Amino acid sequence: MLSNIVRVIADHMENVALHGIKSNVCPKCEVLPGELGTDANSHRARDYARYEHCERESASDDSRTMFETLGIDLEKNVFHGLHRVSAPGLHKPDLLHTVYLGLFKHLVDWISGFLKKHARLQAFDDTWKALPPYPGFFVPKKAYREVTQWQGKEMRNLGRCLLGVLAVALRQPDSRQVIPFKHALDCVRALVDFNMMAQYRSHTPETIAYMEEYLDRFHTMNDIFLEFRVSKRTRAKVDKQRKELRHRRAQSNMRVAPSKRRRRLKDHRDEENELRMDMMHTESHFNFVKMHLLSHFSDHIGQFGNIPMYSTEFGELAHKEQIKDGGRRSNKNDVERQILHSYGRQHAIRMRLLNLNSLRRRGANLGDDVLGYLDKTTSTVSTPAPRGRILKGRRDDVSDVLDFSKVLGISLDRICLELIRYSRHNLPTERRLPEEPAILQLLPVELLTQLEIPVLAFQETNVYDIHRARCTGTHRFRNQESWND
Amino acid sequence: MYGALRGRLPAKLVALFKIRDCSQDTLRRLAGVQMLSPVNSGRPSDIHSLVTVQLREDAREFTLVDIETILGLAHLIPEGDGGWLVNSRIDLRTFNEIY
Repeated sequence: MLSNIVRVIADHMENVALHGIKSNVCPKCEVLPGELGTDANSHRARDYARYEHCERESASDDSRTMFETLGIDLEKNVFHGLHRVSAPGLHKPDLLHTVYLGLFKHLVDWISGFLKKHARLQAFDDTWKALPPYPGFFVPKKAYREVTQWQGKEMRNLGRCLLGVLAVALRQPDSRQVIPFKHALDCVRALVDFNMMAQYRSHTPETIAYMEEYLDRFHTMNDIFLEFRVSKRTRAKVDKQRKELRHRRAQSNMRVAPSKRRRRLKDHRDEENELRMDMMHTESHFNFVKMHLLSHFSDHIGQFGNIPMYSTEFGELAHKEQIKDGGRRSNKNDVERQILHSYGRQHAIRMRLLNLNSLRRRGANLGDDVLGYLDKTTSTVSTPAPRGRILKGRRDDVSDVLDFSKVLGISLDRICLELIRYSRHNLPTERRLPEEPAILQLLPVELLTQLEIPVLAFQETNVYDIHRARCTGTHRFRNQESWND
Repeated sequence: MYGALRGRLPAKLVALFKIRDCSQDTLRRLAGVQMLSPVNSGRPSDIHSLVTVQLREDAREFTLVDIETILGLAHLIPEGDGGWLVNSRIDLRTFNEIY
């Protein structure tokens, strides 16, 4: 059988199952579990052909030990024996599971611990709740602490505002907090910037170099959050160490005069804290696989192109159309078969329409009913790119400059002055507005509440995002508060 | 100009309106805005790398601009004390342009 697979879009645990590897090893390279959290990224690529050769040639204890160290089980690798398939090359970076649901999720926990330690959690919550809207940004409805489950969409949202919210929450540090706050912001900034760069749809050597620089900085600065990476085992060790220490002290204090005991108490507390921090730093680490997978992003861009096109996000979003919608439409009997039939039919109809459209463009003779249906369902004419700004939402309570000044609560003189200033600075002499106040105040005015601004999407030539700037004055917007951008 | 903001300046929108000059039969589409001013000449902070803008008491509270000069929305995170952080990580375009 000749088979050639070039990529597998899967999350880490699916890759673990496909490649027959342990969950704490990388499917692409031979990094050791103890080095996953470091910035060393020059590990040898996995060579499954070599492993097979080793297994065939010497089924000795040595090869078994090597497989154990590298965390592989060849029998469980589904690509085993497919000689035209490069198993390590199949793994693709995944923004959804590696960054949003991986690193960002960890970062949220570390930041929570950090804010709690420095009594800034409330400030963070207040800023979080006061975030203003922005196109494509979902304004959080709940306080940061009230969110119980973070999903991919929320994590992506978080990445867009985290640095700003944290910067506000960590304002005005005292002298002891200056350095840790700066390090925490540096670390968060490095990861957020790395994530932003990873979303670019085209790259240059400079952008790849920036990504590597951000990742290096993240690895350098993340020590600030190490104490919030404490595992249950480490916590138990710390407790045990403290108990032993207190027990030893209790025995020695029996022979100390009560007056001296109080003096020693403070020293003991400091010593306990120091030992606790030492143990936490020794025992805690960032050696988990998602930390390491980031190091393959820049290589991947060089080899295969941008990262978003391989993200599992698209596949997961397709669940809704391909599975959930079909499930809802079914009568719930033999539901799997109905889902498959439903999506298959839709897909076939869409393909049929595309084929008919293609035939139409080539001048094929199609019936009027088919042409009418094609016009209704598929439009071959792309919508023209929006160029100008559009004003919407006319208000009826203003008819001239005089009304305008009353509604805004700004003096008529002030508005006339501004109109004259605008006219002199921006309009050619023959097109200027009249400058006599008596005429100016009677000029007809329409007051509007919304401005649509087409903004060219990043790295696109004909895709526009529409920014809607709203200004309702004192009027309510959709039965909520007034909205003035 | 304005440091990292590169000639752009955030403003608060006060009014959107059209004004007709009947003598010349022309229509102007204008916006009344309250300009904010960048702190530290618009240089990003050493600590968090974001630009801060603030309301200035000496600034005019009502300035007229052509709506064609409005480039888009800005995401300003309120900092308290009449200041805002310009969130340059809100989308890829802003991230690419403000640094």
